[in-house]
Amino acid sequence: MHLVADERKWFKEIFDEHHDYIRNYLYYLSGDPDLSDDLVQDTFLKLWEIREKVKQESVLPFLFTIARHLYFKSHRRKAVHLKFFSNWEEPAKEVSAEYVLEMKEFDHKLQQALSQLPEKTRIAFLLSRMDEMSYSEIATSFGLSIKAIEKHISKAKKILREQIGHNI
Amino acid sequence: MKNIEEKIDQQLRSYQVPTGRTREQAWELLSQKLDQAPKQRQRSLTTYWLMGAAAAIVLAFVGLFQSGLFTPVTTTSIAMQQTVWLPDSSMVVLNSRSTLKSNYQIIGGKRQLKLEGEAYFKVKKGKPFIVSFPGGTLKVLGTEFNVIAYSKEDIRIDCTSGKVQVMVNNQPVILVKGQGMHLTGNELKGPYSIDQEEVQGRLNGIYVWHEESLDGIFAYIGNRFGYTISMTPSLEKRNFSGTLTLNNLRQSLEVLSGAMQIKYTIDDSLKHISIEAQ
Repeated sequence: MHLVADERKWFKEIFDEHHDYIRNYLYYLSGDPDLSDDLVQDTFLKLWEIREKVKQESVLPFLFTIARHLYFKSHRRKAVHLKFFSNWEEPAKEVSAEYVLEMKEFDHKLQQALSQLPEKTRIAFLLSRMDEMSYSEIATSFGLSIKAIEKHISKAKKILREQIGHNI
Repeated sequence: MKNIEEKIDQQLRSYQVPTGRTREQAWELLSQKLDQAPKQRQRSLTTYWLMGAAAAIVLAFVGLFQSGLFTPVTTTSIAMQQTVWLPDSSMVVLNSRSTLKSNYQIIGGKRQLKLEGEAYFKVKKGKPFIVSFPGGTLKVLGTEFNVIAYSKEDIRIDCTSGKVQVMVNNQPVILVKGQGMHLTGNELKGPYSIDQEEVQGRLNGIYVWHEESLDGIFAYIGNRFGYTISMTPSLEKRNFSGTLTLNNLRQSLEVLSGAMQIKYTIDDSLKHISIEAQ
């Protein structure tokens, strides 16, 4: 038996380590920031409820599964519209209005293209690029092979190149 | 090509996922929920029983008050018309086969009425005056208007003075002096302009129709006199324009049948009218 205080400490560590992955994953899945904030809470509450049955090494795949289940329990698959904040710093030298406009257009196109990627491809690609998860981490998290993840990533790259490349 | 990929990657690194709270705030919130969770489980059966009982008592009281809130003012029978003066000296002319209930609060002075049927309102300026009827509500401050709402399928509202805020079929409609609206099923017509004299003429049972479908006219006649209607479908969309005096069912039907070349049969025991082509 764990002591209650120890359990809380363990749980806090798990939370700090995995919270952002799960939250971001929910956002890539739903495109709804408020819903993601709420569902990530429910996901960790669920983990707390069944904490005695969870093995340390399988926590992350477990959390992804719970999050996914919670989302699809109450939502149908639908088109998502991702809206990321961009915090890129302006180059030191003066930029022309034309450049700013061009960047804005590029940004808009990229977000649109990302939103339109197939669900699994979108999630694998964004977890890899934005959350810097390794292919093997993503693979174990979703019960897929590393090969499969590689395929999703290259598919994503290809689609993005095609959608955005033409006009640059 | 390499260039595009680099550009995409660079942009992706600058992206942040939108969120309403930081990780710290999320943990705060989660901790609170964790602290509450075990307490809920310890709640004994007695507590639940008491909570249930308390809820039942509250509901009973609310129920008592709700039903007591609206007191019947008057009900009219077929082809009867009655003028009612409300406590604030607003006037209501209740038309055929209609019911009016009121809830005037002494404190706060809110004026609430429930109407089923047809009535003409002349409202004294003052606190909000709210009329609910089958399928909607409306709110005014001080104005004159007419409501026909025997059923939520067929609602007509005409404003002859001031301004009326209507909520029908979950849609807001604002009518100003000289405007009317008509909801049939889910189809909302208006606001369109109306002839004020025609609206006031209805108080004498004189109804003027402009290119109105027989379907709509008979729906109204059925409601007004308390009859169900059946009609040959091909007649439903035939339009009628003209004046009808709707104080007597048989007289009205006689006029309509002459003008529209239709045949009617009245079954008084079943309260049913059937309409066919001549």
